[in-house]
Amino acid sequence: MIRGVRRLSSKSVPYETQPRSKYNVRSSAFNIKPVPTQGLVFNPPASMPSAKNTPRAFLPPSDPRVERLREFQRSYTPEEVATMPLIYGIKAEKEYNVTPDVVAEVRRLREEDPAQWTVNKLAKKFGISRMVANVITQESRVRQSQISEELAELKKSWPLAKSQGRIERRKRVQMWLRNEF
Amino acid sequence: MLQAMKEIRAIGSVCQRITPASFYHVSRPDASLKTTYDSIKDYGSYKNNIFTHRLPESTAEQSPLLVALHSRLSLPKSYSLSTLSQALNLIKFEGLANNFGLNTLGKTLLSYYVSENLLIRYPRLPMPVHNLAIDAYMGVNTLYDIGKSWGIEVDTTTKLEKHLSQEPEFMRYGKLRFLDESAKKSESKEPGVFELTQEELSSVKNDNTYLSREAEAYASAVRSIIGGLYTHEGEEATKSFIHSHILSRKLPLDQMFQFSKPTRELVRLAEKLQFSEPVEIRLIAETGRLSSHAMYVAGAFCGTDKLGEGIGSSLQEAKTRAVVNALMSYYLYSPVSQDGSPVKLPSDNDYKFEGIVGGGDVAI
Repeated sequence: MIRGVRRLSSKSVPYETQPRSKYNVRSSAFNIKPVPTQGLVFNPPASMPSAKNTPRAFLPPSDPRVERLREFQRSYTPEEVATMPLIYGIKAEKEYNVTPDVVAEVRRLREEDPAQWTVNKLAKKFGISRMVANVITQESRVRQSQISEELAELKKSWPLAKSQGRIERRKRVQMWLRNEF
Repeated sequence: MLQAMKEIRAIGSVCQRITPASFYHVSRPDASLKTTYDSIKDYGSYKNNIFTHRLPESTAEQSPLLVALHSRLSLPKSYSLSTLSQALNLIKFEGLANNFGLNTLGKTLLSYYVSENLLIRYPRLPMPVHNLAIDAYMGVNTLYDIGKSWGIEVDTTTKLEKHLSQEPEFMRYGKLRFLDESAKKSESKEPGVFELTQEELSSVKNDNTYLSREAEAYASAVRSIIGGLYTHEGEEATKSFIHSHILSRKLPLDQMFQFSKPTRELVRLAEKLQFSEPVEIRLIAETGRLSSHAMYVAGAFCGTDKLGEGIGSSLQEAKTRAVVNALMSYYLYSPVSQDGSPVKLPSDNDYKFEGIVGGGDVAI
């Protein structure tokens, strides 16, 4: 005898991102008592963002996904974006406020005493970014070799664990750049 | 195996010093082919006078290896066994036709279908990744693996050994022939140690990698088999053969990227795409700085559009991962047609251009 199978359409399965708690979710956030929901729930595991899903901004206008995925892709309001702290940002308009006088002065100071007038100090003194100061002063082979020699000397005194740790750190950064975990 | 590779590298690095530097590359006709011509500019009159003949079909039919390879690859009946035997022959001077022409034909077909597939399906791949992908599909090492998986064997025994073991001559017509008699005799003294020929030594590159003659011979045989299929069955059959044997292989494109300055690259990319708002990296969520293993989720934004998201145990990591994710989701874009299926390729029937043409790499 064939038993009746309860028919479920995928649309009727409730979407639960996290288990329901017995207590108030907000005021008792520290004390979660999960209450299992009867039947089937759709609870996808938290997953890494995938590069396979092209974000809307990168889709060419002719792509059919621009229209089709409109309701599925998460969109933010300007207020929501504003609540997220900024880690890195550049100004919309580029500033071209460095005059030839400033360039000449920065170069002169740097050449005079590179040990005292570091890029950091120059940037602060003239109110320019460190990157701009770096571009203006240009790379000095003499100074570079001097610094790398000093660093090599310093590294000799490092304990093994420290120098090993630095190597591991560099390897980890390379893993970020390859999108590896 | 690893030990053997090290040995090869060691031998290669020692001998590299005594090999002459590579000659200035000038194309000149191969004298051994005894080419004659009426006039040097009349390319139609070029003719090789080296004596060759094709293996008779009746002889090829008696080679069990050829018959087995033919049915293993489920080649059509029109694909003659003598052509298959020719595809496995790289030797120029033994009187039998070699695979030079078939190899060239197969290589051309392969590069057309592989690059067509990549350029249409992944139009935005950066040039280095595109080249790597081509190499992963149809590079010598890949074709070497495919050739071995097809069960092609190398003819390694000398004439004397064949005579002593009373091996029928038909056997060798089904094997990959690229070693001459002298090369067969110089068996390695120890297992895993290979003596490189002068030719192989000159192919050792600066990074101490080299392609063995065996690998190149296998690759050439695979290309020639494809070329042979084209001569017997035409374009449609060759296309489906390449799609089922070469392009069906899984290619992890998302593991082929290595960025150096991803944030700068993303900013340049946004400029190139003329986004109206600047790129910002924002912190979406965190577990708390004082939690035992703090985790951060960062997002790369352009205005209210999220371009990428990354998770990391430091702000710097989360930021870098978010940017790398955004860049990869741009580069790995694959167009779809209006009904959601992959776009048609130029070699398909009633092809109409959908998708996009990639905008090229960004300079950082």
